[in-house]
Amino acid sequence: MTDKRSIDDQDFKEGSLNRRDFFRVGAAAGMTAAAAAVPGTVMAQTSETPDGTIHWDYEVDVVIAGGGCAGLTAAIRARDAGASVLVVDQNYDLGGRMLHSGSYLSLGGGDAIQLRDMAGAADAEGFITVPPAEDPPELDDNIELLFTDVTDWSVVDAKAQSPYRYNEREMMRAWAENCPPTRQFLMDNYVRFTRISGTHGGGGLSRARAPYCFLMLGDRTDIEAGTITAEDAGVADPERTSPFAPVQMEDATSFVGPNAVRNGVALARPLEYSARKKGVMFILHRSFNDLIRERPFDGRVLGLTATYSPRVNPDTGIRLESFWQLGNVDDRREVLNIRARKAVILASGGHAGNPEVRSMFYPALRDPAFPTSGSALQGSGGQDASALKAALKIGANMAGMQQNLSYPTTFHISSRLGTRDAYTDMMPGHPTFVFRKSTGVAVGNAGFEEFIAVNQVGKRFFNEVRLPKRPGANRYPGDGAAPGQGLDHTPLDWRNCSAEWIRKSYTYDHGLDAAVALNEGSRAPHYYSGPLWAIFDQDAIDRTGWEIRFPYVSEENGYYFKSDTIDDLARQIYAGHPYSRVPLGHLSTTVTTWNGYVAAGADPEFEREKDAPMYAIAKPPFYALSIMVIWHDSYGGLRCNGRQQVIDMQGVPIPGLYAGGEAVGGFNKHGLGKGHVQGFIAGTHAAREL
Amino acid sequence: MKATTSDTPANRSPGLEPVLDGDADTDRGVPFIIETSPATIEPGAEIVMTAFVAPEHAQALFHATVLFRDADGAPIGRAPLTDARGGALRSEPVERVAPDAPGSHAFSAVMEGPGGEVLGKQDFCVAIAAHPIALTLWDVPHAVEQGAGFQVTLGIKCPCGCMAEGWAFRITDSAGQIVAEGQTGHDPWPGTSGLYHATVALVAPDSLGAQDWTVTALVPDHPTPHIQRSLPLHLNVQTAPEVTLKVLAVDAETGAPVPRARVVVHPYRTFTDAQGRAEVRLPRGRFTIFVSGPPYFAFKTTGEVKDDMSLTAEMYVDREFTDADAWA
Repeated sequence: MTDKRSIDDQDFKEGSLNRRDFFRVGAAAGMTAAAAAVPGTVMAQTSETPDGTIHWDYEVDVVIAGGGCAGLTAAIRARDAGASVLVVDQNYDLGGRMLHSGSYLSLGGGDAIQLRDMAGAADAEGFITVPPAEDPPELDDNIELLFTDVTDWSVVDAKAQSPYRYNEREMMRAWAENCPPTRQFLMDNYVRFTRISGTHGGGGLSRARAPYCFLMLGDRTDIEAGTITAEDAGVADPERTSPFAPVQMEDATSFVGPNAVRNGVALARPLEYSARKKGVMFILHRSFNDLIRERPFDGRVLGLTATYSPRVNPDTGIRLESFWQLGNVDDRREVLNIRARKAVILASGGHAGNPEVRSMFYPALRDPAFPTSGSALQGSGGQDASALKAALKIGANMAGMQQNLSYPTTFHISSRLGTRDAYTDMMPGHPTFVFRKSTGVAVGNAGFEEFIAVNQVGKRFFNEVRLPKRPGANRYPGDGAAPGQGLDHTPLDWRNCSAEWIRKSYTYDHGLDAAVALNEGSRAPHYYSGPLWAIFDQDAIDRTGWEIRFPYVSEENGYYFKSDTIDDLARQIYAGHPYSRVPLGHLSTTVTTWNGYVAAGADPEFEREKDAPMYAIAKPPFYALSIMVIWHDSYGGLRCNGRQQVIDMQGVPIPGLYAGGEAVGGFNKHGLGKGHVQGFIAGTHAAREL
Repeated sequence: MKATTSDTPANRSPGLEPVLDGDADTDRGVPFIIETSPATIEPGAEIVMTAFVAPEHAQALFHATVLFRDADGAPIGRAPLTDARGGALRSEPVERVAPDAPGSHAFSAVMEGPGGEVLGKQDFCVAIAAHPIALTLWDVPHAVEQGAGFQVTLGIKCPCGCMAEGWAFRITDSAGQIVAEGQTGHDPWPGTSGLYHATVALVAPDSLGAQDWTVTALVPDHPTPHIQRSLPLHLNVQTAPEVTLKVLAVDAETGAPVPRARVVVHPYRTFTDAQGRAEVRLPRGRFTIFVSGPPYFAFKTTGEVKDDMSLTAEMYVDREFTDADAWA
């Protein structure tokens, strides 16, 4: 295993900022004596202290809220330009959702990896030994084509939504122009890219633009050498995740060659390593609350306030600690005021983890029973709309809020059952496993024919086998609704969205919408739809071989139950699930009715017999696994210009305030490509502020 | 114990407020009433308790909270009072799991002031119904041949913990005639804690098609009252199989055999073997054939089976959600 302090002080000194300068004002617990300089105050006009004074606990050039894909990229970029940088993050470790992402990083515009693969070349280190996955014409890209792709009005997806039409044009232009330099920037900071294979959702239909990030399995974890141990990668034991990699890394042989592994670990950890080495400082366990502006709706943004929000193991009472600690500032005071001499960059994520904010778009998903993806890793402060809330208080505008509904998989039903954090397959071994207690049972789409799905009162609500179906995203080469894709795609062609074509391509099943609909248990004032359950019997276990054991399920977390009878099962769920608000009073009748349908070979309620065989639920014991609706990510957010400056309600940039990633709206692109480039742009311009 | 803050008891109209007694009782303090729902409470089911205060006493209890206690005097929930229609007060509903013992239980409620002082007391009755019986029926053949013998297994359990060993059951046919009677055995079904079971030999009727018989768990001879429970026994009576359908399940892309795929030719069903092969004996007729199993889309075809026949099911992988769709 890698030593938690493997970035030693020698590494740190070179290129690091002056610690004395960093701590020029304020005193922090855990600082070294040399770093604890004279405490002091800075005079400032703030919206909260109209008398004109505020105590600043820290002062740096650039303060960044959030240490994920946008935040870390912005931090390194600003630090490279000579700025002192402090990142504030609510979690115990860095990386945000990037850390457990798939690392599928769609950029383009003729970036370095497109050019490399077009030439059939290997990477500089010679790790890549497989030929390109895409033909050169599919990689022949340029900024104009990329800009056209991501603003193409004519593309309509399989949900009859327009993924590109409503993107902010100035921001998209800047994004397209900065894709190639961002790719190079990431490569310069120890990120290694596989062969390009396809393009990510929202990244355009015309060209292949997305590789994964990889590391090579080796006998030690060495970011600079590009190696990682099997233990750190989580591949040494199929039922153990490492603290280094919250999601076990995947085999990347087909995109790189033997012994290559891929996922967000190969992206997040190198960036974190680089940032720490270059002298970026971090305050973890601290939620960003508010921005401090000279006047409530006028003047510069001076800094931010952040509250201590430790992530503590509920079983041991011990605070979690980041894998690496170099550059960490351990300050446990309740509230800190942090001044940004140049700028604040908001990169604290979106609002998918905030049921009240996301319900702005779909009231049925106000139910906190359903989390955002990666909730165990992120904790309750993840994707909590902090950037949106804070910026709105000082006059910021929003953009693309409706785009939450126009990405086809913003919310969906997971085929991983029996865990609250149903989006990832974290195993024991990671410090945040304790917050989920079960990995979940991955049944796949086909597994939905093995059970009936019931709502909080025990009633079926939809054809089960159609619940996990998801419409494809419109992307190269993809399975979205565009009539022509890749080289066959004609951008800006009206035929792409003709009514005849949309009728032909529409494939949305609306199963999720039935899942979160009002039912007999929905009560005022929220009318929550409540949790969902897969109900099955011992025969289903015998048919499928599902492993109903720890770590896949837990008898402690309320997301798995086993009983002698269906009546008992209903009671157990009601008593034991944290979001079970009403009894499953209909469950027994539902199962009896279902067994009658199976005997008759027909399901008059939902016509299951048209899609798949049906099985009786009869042989004890009986089982219930939670079915989770996941609001994956969010697309609406703060309105920004091409420099990623946050724009106010008058259309004017708010001085000293930038944003990137999911905090930003107006760009209906899924995943990392948006965050990294926006972080790159924001970091560039923030460092240039006077 | 469950606690929620839902607004309205399930069996009461939101606008219907109870008539309140306006006379103060000096021994009981400020008067109020308690409403419980539903009217008939099953053992271990949800009970919702709500306190109501008449307008003339609202002033005295404006900042009070109501504390509910069970029959043993143990506190089971507390709720603040909120404004109700016409100047009255009502508490937030308190939802709890009802006791298991049938009969009347003497609960109580206390109104407490902000400092914990007792402002009023009220006793109320919670009536618990007789114990239900859980009845389960399994190993029912998907198809039975007319006039042939077959077996089913049934299990009986009292959810409230009464031991169901030796409890009686009866099976009647679709005309209501008794076709079998018996008792559960001495040991719970493997893997369960209290499901007592029996295997019953039956003879299929001569009439073809779907028929519903009834299995009834009778009221046991037990000190605690129980409620009889019935369950339908679905029979699908068929003529003797005449032909054989041979199925070969293969991966459509690789041609590799798909082992342990489910072959369902309603009402007949089986699995493929390690070579992806299965055989199903059928009467002649028109059938829908499913071949399914992870990670494949279910293969489906419909047709007339007149003679022995073979079918190759080419199965396509159901595309899982990939990284490209999901993260990154």
